[in-house]
Amino acid sequence: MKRAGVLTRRRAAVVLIGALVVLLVTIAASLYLGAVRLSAGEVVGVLARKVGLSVGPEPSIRAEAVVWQIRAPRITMGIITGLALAFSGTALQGLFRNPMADPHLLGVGPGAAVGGALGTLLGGGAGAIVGAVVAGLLTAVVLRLLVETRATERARFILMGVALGLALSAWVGFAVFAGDRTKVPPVEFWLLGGFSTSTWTMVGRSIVFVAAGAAVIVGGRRNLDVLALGEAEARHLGVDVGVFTSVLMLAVGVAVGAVVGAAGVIVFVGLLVPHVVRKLLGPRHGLVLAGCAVIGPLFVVGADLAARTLFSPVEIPVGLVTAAIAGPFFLWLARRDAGVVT
Amino acid sequence: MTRVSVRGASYRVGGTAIVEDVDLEAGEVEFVAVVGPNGAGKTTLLRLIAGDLRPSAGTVSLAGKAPSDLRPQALALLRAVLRPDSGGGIPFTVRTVVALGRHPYRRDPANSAARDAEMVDEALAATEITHLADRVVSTLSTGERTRVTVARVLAQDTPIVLLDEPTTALDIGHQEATMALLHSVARQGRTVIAVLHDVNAAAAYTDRIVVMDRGRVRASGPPAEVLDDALLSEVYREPIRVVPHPFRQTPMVLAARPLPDDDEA
Repeated sequence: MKRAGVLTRRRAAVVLIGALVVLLVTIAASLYLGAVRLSAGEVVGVLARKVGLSVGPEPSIRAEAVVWQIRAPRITMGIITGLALAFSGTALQGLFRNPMADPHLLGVGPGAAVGGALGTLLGGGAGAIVGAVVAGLLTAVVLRLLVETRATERARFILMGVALGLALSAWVGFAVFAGDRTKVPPVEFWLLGGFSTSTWTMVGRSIVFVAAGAAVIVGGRRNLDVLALGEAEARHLGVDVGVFTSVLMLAVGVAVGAVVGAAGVIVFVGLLVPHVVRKLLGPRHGLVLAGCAVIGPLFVVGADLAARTLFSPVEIPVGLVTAAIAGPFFLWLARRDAGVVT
Repeated sequence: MTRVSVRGASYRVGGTAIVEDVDLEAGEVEFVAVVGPNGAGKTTLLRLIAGDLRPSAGTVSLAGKAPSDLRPQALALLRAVLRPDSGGGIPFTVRTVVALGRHPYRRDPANSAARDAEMVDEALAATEITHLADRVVSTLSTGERTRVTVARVLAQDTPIVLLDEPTTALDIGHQEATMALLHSVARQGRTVIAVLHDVNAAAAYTDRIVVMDRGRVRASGPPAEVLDDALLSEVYREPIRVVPHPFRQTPMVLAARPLPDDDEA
């Protein structure tokens, strides 16, 4: 038994380090590749000078702008987004013991997008994040009330969430078309996502909320394990299920709001990544979250790299890439191993 | 001393009384069985004691406190609960699930990881599932899962242990082993209350039997006093005879319905 425990830990460490290496390679590729062709030396030169080293050739102003002002913030925003969505998916799937639970599918993402669009109208870039966080929180509260009243049945709960999400997606359109379209990003940005507008300022605003939400979710990892035994069992083991559900859903609202306000709704990350991680690392939520912190960012940064290089110089919405990759993969996973999705 | 006290407790849904005016007292070192036909209100009574439900009338008190006045955390240090076959879809290993029984102690400064491991090992050994420790729970049989839950409940190490049909899915060997285990758990100074379908198991191992029917307690006392032909036949609506066990000093309950062959003969 002890041996199996050690083996599990060793395997987890190997998987996590492996995924981290792949993530670092993807980040390096994302810094190097793009519509503007730069040499590897130029990229290294820019980055080295940011940490105070004079390595590589003295970078041009253009290289500095492309690598540090465009590519680096969008990669960072991708990392934050991947982590926030994968954590939120893990939290919701654990809370509702439902493999289909996902922040976007349940309407939190679209709700946050409505707030993001309205927030942009009122207060520009800062307004987008704040508006999306507030709207994400409100959607989480609505969802929480639906669960409380009569939707605890698994299938019905998901259906209600999907209806909520579709209705809110329509409201994103209203918010965009009713507003000043020169100021508000287009509907496709909000509903399909994109990092082309990411800046360091945006990263700074978003990361605060994501850190708070993620910290709450990580703090709930043991309670999520207990909840896997069932709601009654969790109560018998001392979990205040009602309070815990509320706290975690609010954390999801904040984290999802903060990334939707910055990058729009990017589908399938919250749904798929936790399943992949559980497949690799097992069902304990501490390990699942550790895996999500690497594989979530890997998936989003990789998808963004594809979104801007596949049809270069044309950039396609990143949500199209995530859906195109994750949809079939999810079907394969679901068919191959019924245990993953039931 | 009384540790569990139920006084005049009723639980009604709509106009229907599921449990009606029930009194039950259980001491600090006592193994109590609750028996009765399906729908008698046994599970509801257990849920009232566990604090899952609030009585519509009357009171429940655990170590002098009403469960509804305690925070879930405090309640979890006072009573552990086994529900019938919970855990079909649990993806964790047996050891992980049993270790989750230690969840209520995670912020207890007097507790330690070593103590947790020790309690988990003891619980695995006591329920004879040490060899299953690394199996995933959802791959086990119903009977094995029941023993995992018994182990989890033991690992929780509470003064009050409530079990709803802990032996129903078990073969005769594991049924006897589990009853003997619960008996010794009670002897260590715990209050064990179990809903049982097997009246013989109750007669052999428990200190007191509470017979319920239609939401009410029909009789309560030591097995030898409580179990008789008339009461059981009436409660179960089935001819039943109680005879002395041939070699145990306990009553033995037998179904006495004439067999189909007897009619033809």
